[in-house]
Amino acid sequence: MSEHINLPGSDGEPTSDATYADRLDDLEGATLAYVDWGKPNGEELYDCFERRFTEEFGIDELRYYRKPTPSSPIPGELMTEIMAAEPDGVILAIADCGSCNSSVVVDAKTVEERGVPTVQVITDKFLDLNTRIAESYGYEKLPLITVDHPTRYLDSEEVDTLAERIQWSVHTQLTCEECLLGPADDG
Amino acid sequence: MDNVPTEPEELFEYLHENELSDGLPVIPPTDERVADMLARVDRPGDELLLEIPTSFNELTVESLASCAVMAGCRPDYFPAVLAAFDGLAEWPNLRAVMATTSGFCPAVILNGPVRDDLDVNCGTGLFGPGYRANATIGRAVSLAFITVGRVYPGTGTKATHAHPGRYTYCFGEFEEHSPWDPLHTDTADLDPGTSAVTVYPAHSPHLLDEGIGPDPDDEDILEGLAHGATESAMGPSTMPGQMLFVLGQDHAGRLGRDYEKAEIQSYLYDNCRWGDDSPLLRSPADALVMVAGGIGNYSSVIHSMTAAGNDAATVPIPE
Repeated sequence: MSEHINLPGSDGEPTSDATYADRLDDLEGATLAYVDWGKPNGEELYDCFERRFTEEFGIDELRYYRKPTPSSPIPGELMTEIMAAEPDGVILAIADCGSCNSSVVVDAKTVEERGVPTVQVITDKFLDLNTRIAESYGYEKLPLITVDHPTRYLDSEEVDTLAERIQWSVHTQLTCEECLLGPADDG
Repeated sequence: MDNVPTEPEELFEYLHENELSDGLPVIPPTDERVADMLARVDRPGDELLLEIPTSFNELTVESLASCAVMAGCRPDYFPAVLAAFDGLAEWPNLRAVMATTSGFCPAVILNGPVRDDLDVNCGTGLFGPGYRANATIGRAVSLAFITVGRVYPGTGTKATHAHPGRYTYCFGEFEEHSPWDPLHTDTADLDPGTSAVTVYPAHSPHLLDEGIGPDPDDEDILEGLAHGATESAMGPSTMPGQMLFVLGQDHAGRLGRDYEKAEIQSYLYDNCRWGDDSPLLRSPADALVMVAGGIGNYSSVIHSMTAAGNDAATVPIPE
């Protein structure tokens, strides 16, 4: 009998070339899109962002969209609707589960490839999975912000505190070309 | 891969150290054993089956054959293992099933003559241990996700609990005890006499009965199925989609006297509802009804990850 062991292959290389959108010069006057994963406090975070980004950054509008399921990528019809509004940037939030993080990577990749900068808001316990999947696609620099897991039990005041804490990280990830280097934390 | 130990004990340790193990011993996949698997199918070893999540590395026929050896499959099991991955390749969102916190995984269901050919357990204790075909066909599928997909707990999957089916999840339909046509004729345009594999995005089986009242009748059985299935639906199973009802022999025998399968499916569609009367099934056909298991007044429901959008996929097994 042969002494050579033929283990299943497990050293494949990423197959795609990453394409990232140019970042924005500034958020003032920008129209942004917020895609809600439909998880608890996702809509509340939108409300806080909408108010804060208007007051702090002078955005023109933060449009709200909600995915029908957090486990699957944004369906084609909804993606068409989002992109038809020609957003200057897209916020994808809150990915706080395993399948959420598998889909948020696909959505961020899709939107970046269409020339629109993105930022993912994920909970920190899923950073390793998110990173694994992003690397598998060859997109290890997809911008993201990690926040403390879990976010689902935060009350309204805590959600607003969270929004205040990460608002400048969102700003940075959408505007800073040099910052396309990996995750920022919620500090 | 170089420097892979050939001694079973050393190989076992090597696989552990490299997160290529399900935690159980394996048969060393020597070139000769892998070739024996490949000899059972008319497919080239370097054929790409799919980029398997969550690593999206390329799973080839040869890699799958290696997994089948490691799992303990006999070579004549391999066509069924391969057919299972032909089915999985049809799913639009396998990624979510393997990454999810809710811990689903593919179940492999066998229909047709292959059940006898391979001695597949379709009866007593079919979700448990004891039959080599059930144990190793399901394990081969699981090992492909671990070794090539790198679905290792913590990094490749974030399942909060997962379930024991992620070790191995394969069973057959007890067609001889069914008053109705078998599952693979519902999920595909196949003849009942065709051997087939159905892959289904499955959570653990949830046991159902007809309640504890005296003199149970048909209505009690149906109510028990619908009530238990509705109450056990959770998270990613609460969007409308498929549910698999595995009817034990007693329930199937009793219901088969008075009901066609389509009538049972209609009942389940009408009665599996939650919240503000939201249907858990998109249509009566989403109630997948099969007969399996031993005697006893039990059936099981196996919820699917409806939120991920994958339906059961049925593929014939070449003879």
